[in-house]
Amino acid sequence: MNLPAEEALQHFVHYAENYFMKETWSSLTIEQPTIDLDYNAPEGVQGWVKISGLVTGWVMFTAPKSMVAELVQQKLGEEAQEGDCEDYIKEMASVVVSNSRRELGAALQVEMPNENVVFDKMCEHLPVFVVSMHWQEHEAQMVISLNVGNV
Amino acid sequence: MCNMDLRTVLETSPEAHEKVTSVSLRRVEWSLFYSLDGTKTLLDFAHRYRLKEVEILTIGQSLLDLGLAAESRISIQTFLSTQGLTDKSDEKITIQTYVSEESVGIQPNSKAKDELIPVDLEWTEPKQVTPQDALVKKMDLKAVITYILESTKNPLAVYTIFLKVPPHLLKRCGIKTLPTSSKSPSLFISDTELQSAIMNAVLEKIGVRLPPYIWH
Repeated sequence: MNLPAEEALQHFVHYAENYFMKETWSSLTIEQPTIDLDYNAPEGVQGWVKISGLVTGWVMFTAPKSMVAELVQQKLGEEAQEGDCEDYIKEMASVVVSNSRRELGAALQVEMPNENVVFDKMCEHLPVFVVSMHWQEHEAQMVISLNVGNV
Repeated sequence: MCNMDLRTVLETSPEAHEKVTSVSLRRVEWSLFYSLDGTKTLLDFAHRYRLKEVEILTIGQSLLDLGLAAESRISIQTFLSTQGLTDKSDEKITIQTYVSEESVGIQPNSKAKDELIPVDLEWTEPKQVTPQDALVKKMDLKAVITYILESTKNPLAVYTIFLKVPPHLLKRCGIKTLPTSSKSPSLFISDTELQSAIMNAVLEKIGVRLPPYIWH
């Protein structure tokens, strides 16, 4: 049985794996997801997008800066400059969610968030779905927070 | 090995909650399994489900063979009382007890209280767990999650179901994270408000009631 919210979540996880495979030619190890009732993002860089339509909520990627710097270097062939890591992870969040529209259709809207909004504050008091992903020696997380009203 | 006959009383086995997820049974077998309460004989169930004696014996034996049921050892007093055979004419009861029994049309010494009601097997659902059950029992959260996974075949459903459960209820029971797999340690919940919220969320989201084996 696949309901819209579960289907969306499934695609986000699938495209996150795909993204890493395409960008790095190496796969991620994905841990069994958990539901976190009191989420605090680990230190690092974050990129997130707002989703609406089919389901509403937020999808956030967070990773240690050292990991993102490596990814940037692999992509650009040079060391990450100021702001590169932040841009890279924002793009990652946007690409992963936007790619999910291939399956989910235009009913899933993707918006870049207001820069001043802090993700942790937004999903405070809400359960979030945390997918820990290991790449080389690094651990990144994809965090999904859906609004309860439309799941 | 159980020498089963129609007087045999079965109950769910201690390991049943682990085995139910890996077996497939016919509707009638599930119905019987969920009705096992350690007091009724196979003959009682044969009447209830309008089954032939050989059929109920076959089902009982298959539940035993699968390890879902075990023979119940009960005292003769318990057996007689469940069969409505004890003589209560000398029993002293309060006026409240007498009135309450009268108000539902049951004579103090009547067998009607435990009367077996014939049902249509095709439409028999497993015994449902009501909020009243939750009042006295602990809910095994691991078993709930396992059940959701078995029912939906989708770990992400665990998240969307628990989104429907007010987080403050989970937090006040000391729950900060929830696994989305069955490979997690058992966690027992005795908070009745949380139990009800979880039962309602499962019912609302996937349209099923939690099975009895999630209760301890």
